[in-house]
Amino acid sequence: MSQTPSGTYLKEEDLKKVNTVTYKPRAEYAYSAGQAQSKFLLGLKEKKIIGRKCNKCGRVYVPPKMYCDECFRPTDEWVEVKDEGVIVTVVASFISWTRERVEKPEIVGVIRLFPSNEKDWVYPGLFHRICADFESVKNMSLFGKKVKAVWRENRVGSIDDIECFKVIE
Amino acid sequence: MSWEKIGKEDNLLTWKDKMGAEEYVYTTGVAGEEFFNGLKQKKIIGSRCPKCGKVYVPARLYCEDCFVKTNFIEVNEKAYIDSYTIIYKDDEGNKLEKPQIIALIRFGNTKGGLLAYVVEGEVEIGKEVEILEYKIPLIVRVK
Repeated sequence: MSQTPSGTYLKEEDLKKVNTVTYKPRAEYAYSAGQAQSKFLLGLKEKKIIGRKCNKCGRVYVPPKMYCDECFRPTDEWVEVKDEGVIVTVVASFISWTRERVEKPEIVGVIRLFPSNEKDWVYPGLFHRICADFESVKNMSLFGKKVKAVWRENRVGSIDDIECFKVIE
Repeated sequence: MSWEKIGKEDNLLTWKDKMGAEEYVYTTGVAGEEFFNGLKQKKIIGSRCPKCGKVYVPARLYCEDCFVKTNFIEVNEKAYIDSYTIIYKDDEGNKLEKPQIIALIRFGNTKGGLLAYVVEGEVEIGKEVEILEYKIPLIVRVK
């Protein structure tokens, strides 16, 4: 800018000398999980894992989706899947939610839930905690292991109603 | 294909909360300062572009077309209703005791306008108004 700016920096006491507008925003919000996610989360409260099936391609979405990404059409029906599956991916994280370094790693991974098989798999898999030690992640023995959900006693309709997935075989 | 719409909000998981927003103080700026000081003296302050001659109401520092600094002037043009609406509820959806008429007041041969509460007279687009109180929004009466 070639022109000298006309603005003037204000000090606290200067604010009293000039005309000001004062406002306190009332920032209230209402956030909904939506049709699919609400059904899913409320299902967890009843120890049920609910998905949504597209009858055209046969995919089951867990967590559910009201629309099929592949077929560009609404999905057709609600289906309950098992709280058992196999581990597809697993990783040990040494960084917390708030990006602090943690001593004990959190073991998380993607679980392909039953009744899907390798060819027809419940899409796109559920991401959750896996109750396992760091050693079993390092030696990669967890891949393909059968796991089952460990449900919490007090469930509120949250993804945290499942404590973790535990290896059962 | 089916759309099993649950539809009712009661059946959906919803989180309601309030964000902790602080009160803020906003300075009106160089042109705003002129304008609001003018209002206190019952004057409408606008600004004229020295290049194209356009007059802005309320006053602003620069002409948006010519990118040149404007000069502050008092606007004595006739004030008229450009458009209006009648509101029956406040911003929280509560019914008002009596409907409120809000009008956009413009001034002849100027660019811009000011919002006003119309408290008296038969409201009609194009009609001239008299400013009863110089504040934001203005309080006006239809002539």
